[in-house]
Amino acid sequence: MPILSVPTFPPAKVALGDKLFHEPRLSHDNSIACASCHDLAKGGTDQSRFSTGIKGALGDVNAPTVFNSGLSIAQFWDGRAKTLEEQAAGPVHNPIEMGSNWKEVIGKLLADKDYPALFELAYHDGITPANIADAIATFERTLLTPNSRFDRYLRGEKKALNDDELEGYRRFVNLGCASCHQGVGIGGNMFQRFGVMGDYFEGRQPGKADLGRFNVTGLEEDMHVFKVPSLRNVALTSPYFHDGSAKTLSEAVRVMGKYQLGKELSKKEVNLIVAFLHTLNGEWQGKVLHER
Amino acid sequence: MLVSAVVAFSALLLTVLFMRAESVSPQEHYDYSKKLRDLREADAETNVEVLANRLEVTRNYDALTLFLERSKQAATYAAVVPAFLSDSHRMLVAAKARDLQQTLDRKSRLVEVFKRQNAVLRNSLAYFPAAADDFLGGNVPAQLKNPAEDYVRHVLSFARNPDAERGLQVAAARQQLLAVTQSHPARAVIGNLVLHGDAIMKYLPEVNGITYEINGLESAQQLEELNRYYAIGHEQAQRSAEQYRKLLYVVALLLTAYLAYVFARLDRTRRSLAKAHQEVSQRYAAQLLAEDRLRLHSTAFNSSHEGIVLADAAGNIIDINPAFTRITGYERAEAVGRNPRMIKSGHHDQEFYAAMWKSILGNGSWQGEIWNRNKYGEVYPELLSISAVRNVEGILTNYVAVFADISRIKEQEKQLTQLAYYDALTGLPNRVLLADRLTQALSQSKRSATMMAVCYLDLDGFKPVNDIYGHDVGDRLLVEMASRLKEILRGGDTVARLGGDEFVLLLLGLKSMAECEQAIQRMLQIISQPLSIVPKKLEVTASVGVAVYPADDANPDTLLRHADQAMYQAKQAGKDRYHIFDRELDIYVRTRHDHISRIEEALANGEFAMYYQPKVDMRKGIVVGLEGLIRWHHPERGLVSPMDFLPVIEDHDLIVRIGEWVIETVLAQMDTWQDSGLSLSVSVNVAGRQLQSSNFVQHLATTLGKYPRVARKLELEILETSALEDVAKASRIIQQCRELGISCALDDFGTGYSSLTYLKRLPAATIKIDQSFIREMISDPDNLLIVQGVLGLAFAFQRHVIAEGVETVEHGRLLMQLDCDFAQGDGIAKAMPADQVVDWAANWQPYSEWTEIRDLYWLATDRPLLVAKVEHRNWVAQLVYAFKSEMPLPAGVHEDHNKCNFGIWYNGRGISQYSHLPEFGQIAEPHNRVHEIAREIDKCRRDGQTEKAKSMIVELLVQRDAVLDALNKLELKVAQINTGEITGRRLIARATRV
Repeated sequence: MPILSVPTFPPAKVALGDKLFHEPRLSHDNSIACASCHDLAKGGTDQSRFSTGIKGALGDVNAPTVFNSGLSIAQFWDGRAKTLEEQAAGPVHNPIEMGSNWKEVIGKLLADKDYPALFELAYHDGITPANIADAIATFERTLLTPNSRFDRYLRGEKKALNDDELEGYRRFVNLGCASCHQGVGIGGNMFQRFGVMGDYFEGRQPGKADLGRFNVTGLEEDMHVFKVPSLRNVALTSPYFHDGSAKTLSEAVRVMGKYQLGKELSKKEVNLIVAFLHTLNGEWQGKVLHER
Repeated sequence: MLVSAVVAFSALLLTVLFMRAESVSPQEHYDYSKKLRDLREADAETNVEVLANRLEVTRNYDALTLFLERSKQAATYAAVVPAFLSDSHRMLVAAKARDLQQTLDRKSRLVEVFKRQNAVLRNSLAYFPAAADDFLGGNVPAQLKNPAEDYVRHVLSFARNPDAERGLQVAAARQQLLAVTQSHPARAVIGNLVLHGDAIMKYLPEVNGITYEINGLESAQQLEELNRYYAIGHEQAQRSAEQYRKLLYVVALLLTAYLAYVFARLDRTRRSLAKAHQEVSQRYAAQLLAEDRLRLHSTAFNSSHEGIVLADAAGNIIDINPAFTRITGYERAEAVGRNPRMIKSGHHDQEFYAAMWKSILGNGSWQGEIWNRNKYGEVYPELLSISAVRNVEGILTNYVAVFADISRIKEQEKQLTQLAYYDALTGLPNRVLLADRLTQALSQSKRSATMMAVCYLDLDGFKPVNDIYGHDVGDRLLVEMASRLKEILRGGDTVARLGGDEFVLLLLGLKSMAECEQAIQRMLQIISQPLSIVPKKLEVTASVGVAVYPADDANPDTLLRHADQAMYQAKQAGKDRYHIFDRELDIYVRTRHDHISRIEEALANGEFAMYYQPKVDMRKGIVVGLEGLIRWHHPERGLVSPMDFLPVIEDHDLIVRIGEWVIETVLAQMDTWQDSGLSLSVSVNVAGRQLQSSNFVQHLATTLGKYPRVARKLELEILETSALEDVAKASRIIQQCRELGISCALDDFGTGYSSLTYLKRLPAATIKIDQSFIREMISDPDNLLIVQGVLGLAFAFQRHVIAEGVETVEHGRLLMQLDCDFAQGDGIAKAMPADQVVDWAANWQPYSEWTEIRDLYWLATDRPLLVAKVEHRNWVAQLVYAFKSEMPLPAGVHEDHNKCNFGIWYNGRGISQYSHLPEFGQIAEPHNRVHEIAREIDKCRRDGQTEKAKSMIVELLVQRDAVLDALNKLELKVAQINTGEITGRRLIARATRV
């Protein structure tokens, strides 16, 4: 598993994207911005089970972190957006999220005193849906979190992990977690069925969000298949899973062991792996992301 | 009026023609061709990554995801066909690009499923045996133990060889196990075990299927077709543009001729005017230039900081400049007319001046440092340059001498050296000079094979002296210690001060450890003598750490560090003592030294010889080269293979010397062969250490220079694994060899799988596929797949490939079918002494099985046919093996002939591809017979009729050969149909590649 380095992007687009990311006027009633559910101070999530949209509407999936999202093979839990640009359009139009549309958004941005000039600076053709999405996506691509303690360990700093964390890392690999959570993102580069070794959805009425990738491909074999999320900064992004059902990391690890690996993990194993997962918190803007 | 009309019309015509002629944009063509090339590479890498993940050589999907994404992007680009193609060609190319995109979509989907299933499979394969061990190792009741063991054994057997029969065995064992455990307390544990067993049963065949499907997708072939149609289209567009270009040329030529006529008339009148004007101005300019130049020369002469003397042919001074006066003290009037001899210092002898004059008269000039004497009798150094001036007839007319006083430079040089290399306080060498001395001392000790001790000396209790009596006393103490240490030095030894109270002594030319220890004892003793520099009597002691060469055969830095470490140990052990670094290492190195010295002796006694193994082009039936292999004619052990002695000296400089001997011997041999008319390229193996040695390329160039006739026919083989140790450096060296005209090959390719990623960065011209893969490829489908992968990659990166380890006719035939024509191996010829090579090369004939398919080619779509053959051979081999070693027979014996892997191919893909050919039908009968006989053998064996069963094995092999024969016929037919088309395609592909 190699290490991240932060690439550079055109500063005008990044700055514009940053502003748009925090812009509540992207929503119908000017109440919700991207940052409302992807709070950069909360590990890039809202740390609630489901997100609240305009007029208090409650969503049906757990909001994934926006940090390191540029490394993922696709966006959304079911991978329905190939790129970050495609993803940006999703929430804007979703009636229980921002409940707006491009026409309305562009109208508001044109009326602003700053936006027309800022767009002029970054794009030759001004405010268009493609440019809004591009600016936000470009900003999001800068949201990488390198230099976690684990990265430092991989770079040869053997003291960066203590004995427990190191043992946790060994279990993480040997138990098989690393078969899916691998690569630069420690996950994020493949899809996997939730419930390989047991029926996770047993005894409940699955909602649409529970169908996973089936919603995209329509193939029976993709039923309950989700994107394997990146585990970078995972300690900051509770609750866990697409349904936000696991409140703590320990619980999430136990469930993963049972349904994905087919093993009842001991309390000790869970604790060691959780200790390891805490070493994955990276740096953003030169500072380590902290748990609150 | 007429002129402007003609010009206007021509301009219009030229514009139109230009637009047509330039419609084929080279940039666009380059971009598009490059995308197709990228696509080919990314597609090949995707296949390789799937394989690498399946075989667990790689354990993350980043590269796989990246390459797949890259090939999809390139395919999207390829769908936008350059506009310069004619409509019909554009549609054709676009259609091919769409086909390709569809295939890649399919591949993308397969890869997505592969990733997730492979992950689950990997986990269960790893967990199942461990869980089984845990359970069975515990306290298990007997009634449970047997069925559980049975089940575990069958699952593991299935994991090794996932066929239908083993599948049934697992199912049966599983049922039995579950039946027994129904009410048992261990139910949960067993349930978990079965859960993972089930995962293996489900996912292993699926993942294998997907891997085969991905590798069998026709993307490479579609890409080739795309490339072909594009090449044809491009060529045609090019041709029509060419027509317009010719027309453009003709029109332009006509226009030019007309204009030339018009201008010629105008010009004639103007020229006579201009000529007169020009002559006048030229004369004026020349005069000005001459004046300027004179002024310039005189300024240079007078203002130069360097003294200048002009003398006539007899050496008498004609003129000097002011700087001369400043340096020597002689005024112009004093100098003119005299001989420069007047400033001679008398520091140089007759020979010096004789050589100087010889150079002036022979080469026309002399330059050097010389001591002269000024008017006041002081001697000073100058940098002098004297030139002889000759006139047009070549007669010597003058001398010009230019010199600079360099006494100040000399003085500064001396001061700088002192500052840079010596410690200011004690005057001892400092750390920088020590490093230099240490390096020299080390190489001197190596040469003279004597011991050297590096002693790191630190004063005990120096700090209190400094604190109590002040720095002044501390400094005096250091000076005192320095001079004491200097006293005990012998010639060649060095004492240096590193700073503070740390000194290092280098003791050279020691004969024994005893002598070394004596010297150190003396050192400790002399340090602890009482001091008289302070009123109160004061004593200090020292702790010394010692590293001894060659016991510690390290580089200078490491030696010093070892000595430092040892010094700390001496301090820890109570000060006023010494400690010697690591004795065990000493003993180990000494025994190793014995082996090495025997090999060294062998080199000196000429016990090594070179053998040569031929490399051939199987398709053309010609010998293409040789590989030189070293052998040791050991007086007692007989012929020793390199594997038995090279590893011992792998990390020793001796291997570099042996490598140099090999290159020299091979070149000399090639030179001899050249005389007898044999002109083949010969490759030699280069060890990692030799490759990395600092003067490898330089040394190689020198050796090559001795054999200019054959130099360019030498080839270097570099082990893939040693190239990977430092990819950047290896790639640089390969590049430098290429500049010398020497090409390189990567040896044992495939053994380090990660190298595939690096292949792009290593400019080796040739890849040698490791023999382990080739040997097994005719009986093991997995190895065949790897060979295909390497070949695909080599094709994508446009490298030559040669297969090692061709042991049978069939190896060679299969390689030719895979489009790999170059081979070497015992099946062609074993390595032989040099004197047998000429005869062998003259008499070698390729096998008839090879000449038979010389002009035939198989497509990527025919690969499953080739794989099926391997599967069949594999199945029969397993059966025979199982029979002989009295194990259960393989799958398909009890079932019908459609369930073995060969049968699955025959009834699936085989039918859809080849059922229209009569040769295909011919295979069914002998295949059925094979299975009938197999069933009978099984039955006989169960009935205890072992002898009868044994006799039937022969019959089985006869029928197997019948299947293989029938398959050969089908292969030939298929290839004959393909070949007509493919030769045309190859020509085009080759043309576009060039």
